[in-house]
Amino acid sequence: MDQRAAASAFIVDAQVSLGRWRSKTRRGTVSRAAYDEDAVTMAARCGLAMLDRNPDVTPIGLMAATVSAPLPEPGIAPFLAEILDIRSAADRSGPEVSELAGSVSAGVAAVAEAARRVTGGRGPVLVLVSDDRRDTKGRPLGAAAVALLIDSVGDVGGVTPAGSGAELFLDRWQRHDTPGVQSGDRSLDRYSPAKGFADGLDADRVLLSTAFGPQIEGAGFPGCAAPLIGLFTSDAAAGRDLVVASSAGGISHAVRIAVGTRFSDIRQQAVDEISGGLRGKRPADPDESAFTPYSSQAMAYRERSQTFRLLAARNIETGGVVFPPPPAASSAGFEPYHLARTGVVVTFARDHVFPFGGPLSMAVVELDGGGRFYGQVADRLEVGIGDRVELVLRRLHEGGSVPNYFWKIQPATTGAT
Amino acid sequence: MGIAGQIAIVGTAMTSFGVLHDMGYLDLVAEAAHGAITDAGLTMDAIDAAWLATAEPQTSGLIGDSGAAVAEALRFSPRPVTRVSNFCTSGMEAVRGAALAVAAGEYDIVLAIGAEKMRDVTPKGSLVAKTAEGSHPTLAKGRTAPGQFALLANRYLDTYGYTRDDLARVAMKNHRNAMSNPSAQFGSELTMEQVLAAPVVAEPLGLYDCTPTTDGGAAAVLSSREWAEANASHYALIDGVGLSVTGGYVSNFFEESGDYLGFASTRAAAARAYRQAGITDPRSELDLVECHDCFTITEIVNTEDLGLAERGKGVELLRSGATAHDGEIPVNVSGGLQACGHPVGATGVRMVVEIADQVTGRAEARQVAGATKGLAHTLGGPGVIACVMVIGAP
Repeated sequence: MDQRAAASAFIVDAQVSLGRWRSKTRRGTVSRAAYDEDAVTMAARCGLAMLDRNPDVTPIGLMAATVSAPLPEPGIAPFLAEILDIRSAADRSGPEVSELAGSVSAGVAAVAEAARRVTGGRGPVLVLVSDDRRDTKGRPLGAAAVALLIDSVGDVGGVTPAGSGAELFLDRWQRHDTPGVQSGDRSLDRYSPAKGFADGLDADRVLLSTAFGPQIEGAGFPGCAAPLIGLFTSDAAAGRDLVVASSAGGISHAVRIAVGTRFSDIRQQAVDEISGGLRGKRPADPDESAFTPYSSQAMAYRERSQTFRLLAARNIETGGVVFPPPPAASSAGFEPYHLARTGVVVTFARDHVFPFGGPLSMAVVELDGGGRFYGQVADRLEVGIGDRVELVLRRLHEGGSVPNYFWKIQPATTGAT
Repeated sequence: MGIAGQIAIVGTAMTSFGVLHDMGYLDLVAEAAHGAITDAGLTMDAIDAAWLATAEPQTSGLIGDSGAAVAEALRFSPRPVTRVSNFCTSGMEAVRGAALAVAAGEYDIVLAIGAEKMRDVTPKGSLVAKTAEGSHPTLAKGRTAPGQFALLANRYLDTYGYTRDDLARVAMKNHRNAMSNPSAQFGSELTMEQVLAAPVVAEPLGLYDCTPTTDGGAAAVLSSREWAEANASHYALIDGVGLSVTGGYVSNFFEESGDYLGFASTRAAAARAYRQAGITDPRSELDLVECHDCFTITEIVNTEDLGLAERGKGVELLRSGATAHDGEIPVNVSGGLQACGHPVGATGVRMVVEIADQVTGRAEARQVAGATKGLAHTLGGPGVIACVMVIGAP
């Protein structure tokens, strides 16, 4: 097979989203998640940006990849499919939602798999690659997500699977009973299958990632997302061909990218994202051990549409928007309506007695298109009356021993969209 | 028949309000109830039924979550007891429920009791913990009582251009008033500097902008007007009552209509109570008002919602001195929630007791001279429930 055959799958759009903080470490400045961010919330942020910016492309598949799912089982894909409304149809012919894990090469593998699906007529596919990577002492190594919307046409670049391999090699690993990643004897690296894998690729230029790097200054090494951030921060010109290869934990994957005309737009967004973020001393995580909020899996299931997709109800006659939506038996005269995630602050309060995550600002937001939202302002941000703000998904707490996600408020200027 | 003009308050009493570590929940119920029955010149045998208001039984080991607490505290068996809970309006709901039963002709003499034992736990373990941990897992998570009223304070100050000094005037006035109320939790004067320098609770509200956490009980004996006319040594009449419930505990904050400058519930409840009582100009027709000053901002917007000042002019009313004890329309001469304290279920009953005592000339050191008509008002939860009662001399 001609490895350089013309692509039949293309990147329509892409976005890099980093954790909120930039922290200096001995490996340079790395991206770091706020206490209420994780692989789900970072992926949701750039996934929502994809859907917002491309209303004409409806993904019928979701390929997620992570090695830091807050819940290793069931992973991040079920949350993301719910948030992004990429869910199975009743006739079982609906979207394909799946998740890769196990090695940080899963990020590149997810892109390759999405290209195969699109080539096979099973697209468009949204790829969401997200990791909050830390060492065994909990120190940040990098926290970021990358979204790629892949379809049969697209201006960012053509994408073709370019090879894969497997050879047992424990360069880095995570145990289920200890946090973070650990590594063994670095002198073993010269036996890594990564170099041989890259050498075997037919390409003018290969961007090779291993389990350790390369480090991206400002982003660090955010796991599965690292090779793709490496791609979108590279200075490849339109018309060039390059191969993104990732080899870690003995699993190797590569995709070939035929750089398109809009690649430079994505690169600019990625560079801006890396240079943004909050700097300085990141506050310590609030102590969750003394906070035991009520939570119910039955309620969470019942209310999933309102919780993850802000499903409200709109009065057909008056246009008035009600959230949360009224009970079914009281919903005559209403139609389903999804709240916008942007709006203007009506009022706010900075609360010093709420026992978790404080001092905590709460705000009431008049949403664009109707309806209101009342909730927490994201950590270390302030809003005032009349400010434009947006809603971002965050982890509220661990009530019921699972992450409880909901929307927080942040100034519109700091957001992705 | 209805309540208005037909139901008499013939006996009143309250316990001391404060941190009462030597009194349990049942002690509060018993002391208040026996006090009111004695004040009515009756014995326990004369009482046909009782209503008990307790809003937060989880702070006292769930004692008070049903009428069983009255049977236990008063040896009231086997008579009927109904426990009511309607946020901070619970106390006035007990009075209203008792009054409705007499108006219906079912009973002759009934007892309304409010009691709350909040300080068997720390203030943070009390209502803050309930809201923070017991409420919906995600919706409005992060709200506390001071936090939700601070939403109003910020919006109000921003809209009308007032300052924290104006909020502080409420605390100063009500703490000064409480110096004449031996049952109040606090009894000393506050300076503006003390109020402004107090620890921050929910910006812009500081510690002295907030009602404290309090133990206490209050009780009132109610009868028909006819019974009172024939038998009571002193009594006041309920001239009008309105209760309004305008929204949900959580969904209220998501309502598009909320202006965060006042409460529609109070306006609706007041309209009904005034209509029943024949009041068209409350500022001139009322002699005093006890309203729900859970936070300083709340008293300011209450005075507007109750029609004592135009919207946005509550601060000017306050600054003018009209709401001081010797002013044209005294507000919270008892010290209010700010200085009496706020044992939630007891507060509404305490206000009814205060107004009944005032219009019968029995309010002792804090008597408003010549008072014959007063108003009690409680506001519940995030402002979605309000009860307004006009009480007058016969």
